Amino acid sequence: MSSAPYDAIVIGAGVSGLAAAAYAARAGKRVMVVEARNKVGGLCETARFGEHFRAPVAAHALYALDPRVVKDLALTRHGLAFAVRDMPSVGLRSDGKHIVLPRNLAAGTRSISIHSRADADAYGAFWRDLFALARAARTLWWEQSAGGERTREMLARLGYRSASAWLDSWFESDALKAMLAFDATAGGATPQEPGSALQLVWRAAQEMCGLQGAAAFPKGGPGALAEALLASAQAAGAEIRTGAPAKRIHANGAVAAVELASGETLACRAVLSSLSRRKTLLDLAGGVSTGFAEAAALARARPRVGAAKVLLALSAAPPFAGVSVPLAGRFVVCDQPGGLAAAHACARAGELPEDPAMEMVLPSAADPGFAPPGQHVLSVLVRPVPLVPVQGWPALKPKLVERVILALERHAAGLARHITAAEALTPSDIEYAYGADDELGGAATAARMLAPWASRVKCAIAGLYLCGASAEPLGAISGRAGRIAAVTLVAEQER
Amino acid sequence: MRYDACVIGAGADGLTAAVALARAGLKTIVIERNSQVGGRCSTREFHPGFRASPFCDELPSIPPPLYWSLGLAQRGVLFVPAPAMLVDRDGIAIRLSGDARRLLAEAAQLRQAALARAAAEAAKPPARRSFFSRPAPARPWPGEAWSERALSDLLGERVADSRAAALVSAVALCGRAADSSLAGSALNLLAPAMDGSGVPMGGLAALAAALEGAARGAGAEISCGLEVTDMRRNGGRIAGVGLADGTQIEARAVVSTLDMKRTFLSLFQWNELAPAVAKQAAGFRMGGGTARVLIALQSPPAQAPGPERFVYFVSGGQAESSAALSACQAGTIPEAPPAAVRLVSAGDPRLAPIGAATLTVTLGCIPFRLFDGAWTKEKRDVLQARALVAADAVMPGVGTRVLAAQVIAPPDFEDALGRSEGDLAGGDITPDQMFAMRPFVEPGGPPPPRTPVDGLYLAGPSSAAGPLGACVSGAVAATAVIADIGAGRLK
Amino acid sequence: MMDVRATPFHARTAVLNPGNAWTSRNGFTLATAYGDRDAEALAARTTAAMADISWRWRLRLEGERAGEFLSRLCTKNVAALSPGVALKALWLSDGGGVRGAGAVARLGPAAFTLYASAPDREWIGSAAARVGVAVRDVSDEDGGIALIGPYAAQILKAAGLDPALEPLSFRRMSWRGLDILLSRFGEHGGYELWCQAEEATVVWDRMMRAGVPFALQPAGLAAMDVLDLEKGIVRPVRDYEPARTGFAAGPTPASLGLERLIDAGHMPFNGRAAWLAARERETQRLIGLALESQDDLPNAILLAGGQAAGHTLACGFSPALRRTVALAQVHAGFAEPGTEFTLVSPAGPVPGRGTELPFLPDSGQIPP
Repeated sequence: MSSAPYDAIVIGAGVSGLAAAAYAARAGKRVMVVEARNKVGGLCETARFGEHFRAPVAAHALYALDPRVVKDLALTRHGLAFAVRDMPSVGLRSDGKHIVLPRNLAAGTRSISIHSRADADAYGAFWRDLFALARAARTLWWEQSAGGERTREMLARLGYRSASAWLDSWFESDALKAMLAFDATAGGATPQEPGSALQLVWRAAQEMCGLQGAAAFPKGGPGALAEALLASAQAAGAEIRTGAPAKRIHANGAVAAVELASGETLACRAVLSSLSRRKTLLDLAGGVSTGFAEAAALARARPRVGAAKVLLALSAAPPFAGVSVPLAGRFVVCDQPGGLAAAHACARAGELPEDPAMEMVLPSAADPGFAPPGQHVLSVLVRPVPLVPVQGWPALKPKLVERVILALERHAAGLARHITAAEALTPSDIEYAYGADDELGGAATAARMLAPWASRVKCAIAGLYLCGASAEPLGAISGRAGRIAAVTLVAEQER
Repeated sequence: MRYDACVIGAGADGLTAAVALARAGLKTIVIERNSQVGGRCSTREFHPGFRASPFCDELPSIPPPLYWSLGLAQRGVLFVPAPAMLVDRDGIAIRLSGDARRLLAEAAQLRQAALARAAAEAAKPPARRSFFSRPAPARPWPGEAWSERALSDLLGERVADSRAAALVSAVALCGRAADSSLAGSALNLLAPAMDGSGVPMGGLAALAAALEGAARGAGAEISCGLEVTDMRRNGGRIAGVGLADGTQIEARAVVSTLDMKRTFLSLFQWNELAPAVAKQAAGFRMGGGTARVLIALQSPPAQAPGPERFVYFVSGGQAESSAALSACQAGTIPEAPPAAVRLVSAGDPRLAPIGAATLTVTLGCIPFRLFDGAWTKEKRDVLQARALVAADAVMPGVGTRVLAAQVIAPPDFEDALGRSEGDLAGGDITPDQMFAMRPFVEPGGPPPPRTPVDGLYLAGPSSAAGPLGACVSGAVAATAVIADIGAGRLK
Repeated sequence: MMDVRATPFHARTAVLNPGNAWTSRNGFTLATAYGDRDAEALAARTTAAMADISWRWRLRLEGERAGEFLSRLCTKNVAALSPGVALKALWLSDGGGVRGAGAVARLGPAAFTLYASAPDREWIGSAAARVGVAVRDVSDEDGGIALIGPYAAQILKAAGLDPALEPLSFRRMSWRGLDILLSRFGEHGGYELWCQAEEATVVWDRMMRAGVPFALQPAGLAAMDVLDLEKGIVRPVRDYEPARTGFAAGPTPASLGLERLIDAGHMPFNGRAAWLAARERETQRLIGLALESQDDLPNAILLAGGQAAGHTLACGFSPALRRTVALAQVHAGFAEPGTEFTLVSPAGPVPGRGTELPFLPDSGQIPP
């Protein structure tokens, strides 16, 4: 037992945990971060892949990193740099008529006009309206404020609409709608569900490298972000301990101590947990101090579908036929908007969809350190996939890789010949490795996205705060929840 | 001819609107396309001696105050509740549990409160909007909290027994094609297909007759066999309607009980509506998924799992429901669609000859458009077969006693009733199409039943009050007309 | 078809109930009154009355963490009970609303029995399952009778049982070959005798025989309800609608006069935070009402000074007080004893006056 209690113990040294620790430490608090794995970073990991390759294991592009975290924690000074600041979105299609949507509206419009003239005309207005609403919504999503009344009303109204209905009201071509709808499937939602339209607004509200709604790739992959945060947290005075999984939070109405798996107990005044709300309240805190009805609701709120990763090593650049596409972009493979609903229903029933929807990134095109010259690494996020498939993941894992490769073959004929190595990370692998279960404790409902920060960050137990994906409006690598949780903690401890 | 109000459609809603309008002293005319009034509320002889209501056996309940003010009890319309029972594939029968009943009672209370809100909003003439006025922030409607919940989640939380929960879900989604695991599907509990109100003695046709009597008694004119084809406008305002045979009827206000799409897209020219209104009308999503099979039996079937006047829901569990829904979305007829079986002649002996019986089966998750073409005879036979399988699951031996059957497929609902895409509910029950947003989403726009077109009022299923009860949307629209005429807003 | 759920004493109570006055509670069929309800209620105050209480819900909780779980469930510290002792507490929903009230008795280190007048199986069962405590409904396994009155102890002695027992405690004993449990959990200062269902009629007969010299009378459910009314006790379902959903905030303990069943110093009970927060805002109180009437009046609205003041939860004629009394939930402003009220009843307005509770202490005297 340590002598004096820590002011805060952070559970999990992912982006959120490190950000929270850095903020708390900068405010003068005595902070200890305990991480179950042997390395920090959580889902932001760049690891060796095959013989000569490196690959982003879980997260493969950043689109929601909090600019205030980057600035306040001086991450650029601690080594964070971006290889690509603004990855264009590319909707790959099997007929070669890919839709390339860079920040330059004119270029995007050109590529949409191949599919529909009307949509090309509407796209500019859609983009402007979406980005304006997103900017107005930042008051709600970036700070702990309630946001303007008009904005709240518009967001509430939009909260009732599904992404597919909303996109249907703007566009007519399936190609564009399917590509845009893919972004509304985070957190296990289908684009048909009310509340999914808000996901599009949330993504548009983010800012990377000063550019609204951009996706960026750090030099060295997402792992570099983790390193920079680690350096910043340590510079501020936080202690980091790896290989120390937390087993229990001892609390009796208020937090008292954290017990590690080794048996060591660390006394503390507050705990910032980057695990999900369910894991924190039911598993770590043992269900004590959580009301029966809330515990029942948490236990019941099981997510329905998840996401998987497939990593492919390629001996040459993917031979995308048709319209030329920038390799350093973010590719979305999703041909039919109706297909997403069918895939979701399939995944909910425990089967792997025949035609999986995917988001892909070529880190090697952005950062040469990922593959030998001329060769490439392809990182594929497959969503939705069943969380607990009927056949079980061990049997389904090779099928997952197979279906991904088949789908890619349709869009880049001849790709299979270039594959030299393949690896897959199923949802159960992700949970086992990172402890990241249902990031969101359920689907991303409008109520959750529009609720004030305090309701997501605080718990019924005094001194316990959630700073991970569960506390974000939408689970993503952001660090914002870490910042806000730490700021809340500091404010409450000063009182 | 110059009237104060013209009501399009002489169904339950239209006749109720006519009663209210006529009682307020307005010169009212009701125009009905079919040769008989009633719309959904009809009882037809589908085989010599055998009668049944083709479109639905039971309506959502008429709110008690409206029931009394229409004088329906005095006209002999007495509702006999028909309790519901779920029969699963093993033949085990499940009834509603205490907590299921409590949940349904709560839903009924929310429904009444929402109807009260709809009536209150209708009675307020809309304030003149000046350029500088900001729309007042909307108070949430009763029941709006359920817009975020999935029906299966809500049931899992409130009803302990999963089979009782399945029964509640089957009752609320009877004949619909809705996914109970999507957020917002809990609204189906608020606006259910059936809420146990019961069947009037004498069948639904008796209700139609009583409403017609009340309307004529109040002084309204009812014209059958005439079809409204377009709206007459004077400036930006409605001035009347035009009929198929060329006659013009002048009216200060028009109440349409057609659904939203049919009202705006078939009664107006493409250039007569503001582009935003036309776009919204086109974007309004219809639900649908109902098909009915009426079966004449030569003798009553063997023992049913409960009293014979019950409604039996056949369910095969979650997997079967998901499969049915996927099949419907793909445009095929499901292998095992959700079904509701009712032995109508047991409750009302006039519906079948002595010694025989009439059975109705309501199927859900039946697509309006089949992926491979039209509703041919083969497809209707498939529906009939599915219905017989379901009936057999409840009352074994039905298949051997069938004398005749009539299939009413989704397009028949559209042809006979004018319901777009065969949707009796008048629009998908989803959060962006309910309450203040049914049917218009524009913020600060006129609250329902008023529409962006001055002088046109929307009653019927697509209005806010429509899915919440029978007849009441007509009363709400009439309230709005009377309030607006009183405020001098209609010339 | 549902079978009639009879209590283990039904064979005896049916014989004593030629007027065929039956009522149901918790699904059991019970005699409303064997003869005159008022006489039975008076017997409980003057001599002794014996009532069939087998309808009360009993839940057995077993497991290592049973004590800890019950301490979280109930508003008092159950884990600190010693075997043979019981306590009375409420259990609240997450929002601070009263879900139920009852007595928890500790049978052993890892076994407890919860006695309550209305069941709440799902809530307690699912919460207990989450911590590995086994719960079992034992309401059908045994029968119980309540023995209330100034002569109760003497009757027990005459029957061969040792009546020395502290209130809120219990003792298992063997009684001439029968296994019984004698307890004092009731609110009226009497005893309860719990026995095996098969032996119930034997127990009934023995007690009736022993009570003959003391004018022991069997009492029906209506008489017991009158005793509750006179003592100022409200019970869930019978008098008020308990919280049914997990986060319901009402009814609050203060508005039902049940705050004495909460130990504010007991930390971890479910709904504590919400209950503390609601206490500030509480505006309803439970008061007693003495009405100028000799009739049994139904639950009704109360007016005071022309305004709506509240409503009655339970109302009935008390033979001991010789007037109609009621338990009412009123706005705090009207809760002073002595406030004049008017009860709105179908027969016309009935005047009444607020009083303190209880109307009568246990084993009280009949006022002249």
